[in-house]
Amino acid sequence: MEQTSTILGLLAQTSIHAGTGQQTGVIDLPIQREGHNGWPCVFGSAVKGALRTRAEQHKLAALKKNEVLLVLDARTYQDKVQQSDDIAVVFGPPPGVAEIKHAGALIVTDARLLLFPVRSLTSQFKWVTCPAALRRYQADCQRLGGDFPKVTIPQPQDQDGKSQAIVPTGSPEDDLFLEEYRFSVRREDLSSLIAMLADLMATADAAGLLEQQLVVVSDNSFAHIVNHSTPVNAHISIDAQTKTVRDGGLWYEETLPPETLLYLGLSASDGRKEGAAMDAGKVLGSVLGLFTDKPWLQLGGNETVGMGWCAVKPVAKGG
Amino acid sequence: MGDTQQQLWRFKALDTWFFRESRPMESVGGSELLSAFPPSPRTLAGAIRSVVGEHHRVDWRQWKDKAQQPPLKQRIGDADGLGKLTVSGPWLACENAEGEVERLFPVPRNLVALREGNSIKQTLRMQVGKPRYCDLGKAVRMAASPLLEAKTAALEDEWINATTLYQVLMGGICQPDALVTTRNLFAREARLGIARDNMSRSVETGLLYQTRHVRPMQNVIVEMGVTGLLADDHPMQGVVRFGGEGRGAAYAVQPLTDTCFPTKVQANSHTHGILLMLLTPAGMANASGETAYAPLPGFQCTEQSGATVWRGQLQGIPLTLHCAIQGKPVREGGWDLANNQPRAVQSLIPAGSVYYLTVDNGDIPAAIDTLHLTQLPAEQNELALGRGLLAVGLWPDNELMGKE
Repeated sequence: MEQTSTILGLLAQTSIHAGTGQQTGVIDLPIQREGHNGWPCVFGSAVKGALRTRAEQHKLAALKKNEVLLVLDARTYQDKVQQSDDIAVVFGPPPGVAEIKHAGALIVTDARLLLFPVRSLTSQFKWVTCPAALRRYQADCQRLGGDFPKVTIPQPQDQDGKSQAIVPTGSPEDDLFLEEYRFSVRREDLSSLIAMLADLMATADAAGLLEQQLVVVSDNSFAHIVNHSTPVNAHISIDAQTKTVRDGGLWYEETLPPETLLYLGLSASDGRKEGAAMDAGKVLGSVLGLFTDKPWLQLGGNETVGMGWCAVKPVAKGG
Repeated sequence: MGDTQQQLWRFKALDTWFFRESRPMESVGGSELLSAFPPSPRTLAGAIRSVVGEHHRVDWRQWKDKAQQPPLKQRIGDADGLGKLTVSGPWLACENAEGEVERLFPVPRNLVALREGNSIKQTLRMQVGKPRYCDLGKAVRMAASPLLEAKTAALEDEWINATTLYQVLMGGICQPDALVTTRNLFAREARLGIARDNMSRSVETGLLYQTRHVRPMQNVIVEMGVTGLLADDHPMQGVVRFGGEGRGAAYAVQPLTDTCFPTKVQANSHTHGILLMLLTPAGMANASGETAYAPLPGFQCTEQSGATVWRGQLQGIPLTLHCAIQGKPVREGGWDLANNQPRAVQSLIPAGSVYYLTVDNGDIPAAIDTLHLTQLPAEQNELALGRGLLAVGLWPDNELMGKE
């Protein structure tokens, strides 16, 4: 089978609100989380929708640049943009099409959490991860078939009611405070782990930043932190005439903070659309090509208030 | 080109899976669509066929042409059949930290739980009750709880390994700590989806949907035995589109070296009859096309010692059916990708269902030898899908109430 896969790193630049659309507790608009461990994520369907939007914008810009598309009505948009071969083959027919004759050629996984930024008394913030998240990343790398590094995963030991955090050898702290929790520190050489993580981060001197800010905590501590340290902001809606809060216009919205590192897997197969030959390599290439000039992707809701922007970095190409 | 081989295909979730229950999206109004799990054999067979077809660069649009019968099509079939493929499963399995994989089976329905709060205090074996008047006949034996005063519950969300299943088939019970509960295998995740008009950046009218995906734990595997493929028909590992909503699975193929099934039981002096357990769901449409109700294919209702029983043969063994414990029917539909249409929904007797039979010629050891790990009679397509696989257990003589 002609199939090729890769992993994309997504480093949040602004807060991300990928909501569940359903209220589960005191938070009116909670974010998406994995069912079995409660870790935040962005569901694959939301990521695929964001990629499709990006592809349509890219196509639209190309058509306008070449003056092919001068009149933008709904029918023209569907025919020239959404139903164009390079979009329909990759993502499948657009929503609302009467007859679906083929499936898309791209599998998009959930965007999964790898590094979570946490307030710390001793520095700007710490990038926190845990052995389970790192193991899963390595397993995903293996499944998606690329040439990925094998890294020994640090193992923090919580004991006697005290939580342990593993930090790089150059870290100055003896005790570490994450939110209001105190961790005892163990220093280890994390250079190979830092190299693996930095490879996912589209930011200058990622390795240098991780040398100062990477923390590996136990799986239990990580689960507690990612369930209780996400920003929850109160929002109100104001009546424009009276300048007072509308009745019922108060809600609490949860977000993933900026600097969160997520990753997702892409796996492409040969295109299935009749008359449009695209092999797996071309399918994957067309998606990666969306980020050549502008390596940004908008994920989740509240786009018009600047939320959801991630810096995208393709890591490796396997298959 | 080499010989076909017996293979074991193992699938692991990339994240979540969605195997839509047999209801269309449009029919449900505000309620959500659940995911079946484990998936149907047809779903897995379809995924395997996709891997093979794409490896051979098949043009699926020409595949529908009935006149075209290339060798590969004869081997892997089309929307109407599996060709020369036969599959077994799918089975749930768990991988431990050492990489050892243990297959899981549904708990036989003749085992029930005595609960204390949310935990299971002990398991109990059901009895074959005294004959009662009911819609199936004048004096039908139905299963009865051994503790009439206590509340017992079915073990529908629990699984056991082959060793424990063997103990149960031998007439024993299983300890509560040998039960693997569903919540330790996978979580269910509610999804609320919208379709967005990317031109106006607004929600498309009428395209709001609710689904419930399953998220298997990282150590959970869905496996399926496959025969009929050549070693060079496919890559030995990769990623494949799996089930609905464009979800994916990582697969790995290996030769099938171990059957992973419970071993054959041995009859003893306290054995009254045999107990047939369905390891995979079974369709009850008779191969001969009979439409009258028959609890087992070809069995006919009659009277024996004042009780209503059903008589028939399986694999040439003459048998009398006295009692059955069946789970809720499994409704199985699916999507015909090649013809772009839903498949007809069929009702199946679920795996774990149990039948109590006596052997008419009295040769219980021969019946065990002949029937263990065989399939109930069915149409060829259903047999190829692995339907109605049987494990034989013992029916001890102390599990018959009002014995003459």
